[in-house]
Amino acid sequence: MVNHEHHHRRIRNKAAAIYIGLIPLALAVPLAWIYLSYGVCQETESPAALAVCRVLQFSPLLPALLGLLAVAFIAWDLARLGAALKQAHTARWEHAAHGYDSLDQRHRNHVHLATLLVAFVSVALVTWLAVTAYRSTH
Amino acid sequence: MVPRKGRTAATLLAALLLPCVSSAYQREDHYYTVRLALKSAVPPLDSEALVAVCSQLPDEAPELSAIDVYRRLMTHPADYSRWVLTNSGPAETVGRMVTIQQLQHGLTGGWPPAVREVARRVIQDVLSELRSAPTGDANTRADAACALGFAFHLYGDSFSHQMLKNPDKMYHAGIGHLFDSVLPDLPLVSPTRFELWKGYIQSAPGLAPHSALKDMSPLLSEAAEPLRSARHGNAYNQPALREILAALLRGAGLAVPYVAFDRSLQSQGCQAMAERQAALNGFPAAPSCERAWRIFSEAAVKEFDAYDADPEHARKSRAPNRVPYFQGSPFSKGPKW
Repeated sequence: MVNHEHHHRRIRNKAAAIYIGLIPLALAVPLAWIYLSYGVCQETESPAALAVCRVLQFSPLLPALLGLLAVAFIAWDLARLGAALKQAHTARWEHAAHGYDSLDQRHRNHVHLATLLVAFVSVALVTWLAVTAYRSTH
Repeated sequence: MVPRKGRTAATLLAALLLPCVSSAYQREDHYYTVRLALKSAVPPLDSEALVAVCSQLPDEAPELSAIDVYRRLMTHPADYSRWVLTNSGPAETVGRMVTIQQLQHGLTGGWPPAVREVARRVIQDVLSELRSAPTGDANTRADAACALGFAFHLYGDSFSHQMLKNPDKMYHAGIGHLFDSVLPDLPLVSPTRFELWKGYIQSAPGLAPHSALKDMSPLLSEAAEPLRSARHGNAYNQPALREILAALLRGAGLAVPYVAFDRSLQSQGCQAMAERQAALNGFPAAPSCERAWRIFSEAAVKEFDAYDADPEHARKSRAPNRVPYFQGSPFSKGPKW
């Protein structure tokens, strides 16, 4: 017998983490990057720090990366649910569709909303970073 | 025992986060170039060392530093959001940042030759003020000399704050050259930027009409040497270039070519730093940051406005600006700052 509630709770928890954490993180990380980089990266003459600064220019995208990771974990939860329903020994990504089909509407909404939110924040961050980087240097 | 990977990560993090001792152009490079430009002035400019010190002060004093005023603005979330989203905001907060960054650091988003022309005119205006100051009035002369240093800072930044990727524009107020990190301030970062720096070095002495140090060719030929080996891994040989400038100053008779700023005083503000620097250098009087700023900023506003108002100037010194300049003193906190 498959314990649906166990799988549903995992999906709900990850979706809740995205609802609560993603937008504050998407605001805080770019600001923290600007604050730190402004003080250090515009003045340093250390080659190591210059290299770190170059890499850290992409750090505002970190919340998008974490959001995508959370969505991937939700997909993996769906795969595990699908595998359990099919009584497969090991979960595989292609089981995710079966797991999704087994969800009630409420849990499907969680999956939809979390995925939409991550997609929106990711596009917003990438657009902001690209536009700001271009406009401030051209 | 810390694992090797952990140590490497910690070193990189420390390199990034620890306050760096750094130097238009880097901090002390303003000093070196201005001092060199004024060194052989004939007749001597009595406050030449003070002018050079004050040319570095806008990068050191928190009230005048482009970085510090921006970070300060970030502590006002509502006004900062308005600035980020609409490029506007009140004069008391956003206006302070824009005023300092445009007038003092040339971050106008305008046409670089126009900003250079404005800076030249500001230098001439302030030089007239210095010349008209009574010889016996050490305080008034110190204020005017310091204002001249501020004007030289704008002139240096009018070169270094020209965009790397679009030489037809200055960096904008706000995040400035954040996305190009420190590279615009390093003259040896590319042959093109070296040519730009040469233009700055060669033109600086001519701004003080009685300067006799017109021939900068020894410096330029020496500076071409580190250019050849400049690369990312050695921070574009900036320390080597600075040493050449220091050696030239020593050769011109300065036993101690540079006295470093006491950065432990940064929390006490511009005036404390200026007074300490005056004491360390043995100046007869310490300049007043307040009065020096007033002399400089009045000249800068006048010259920026005059340049942009001239119908013959198709390309402006400033991009359209929706933020009013801050009219008060940048050294007073005010109710919101």
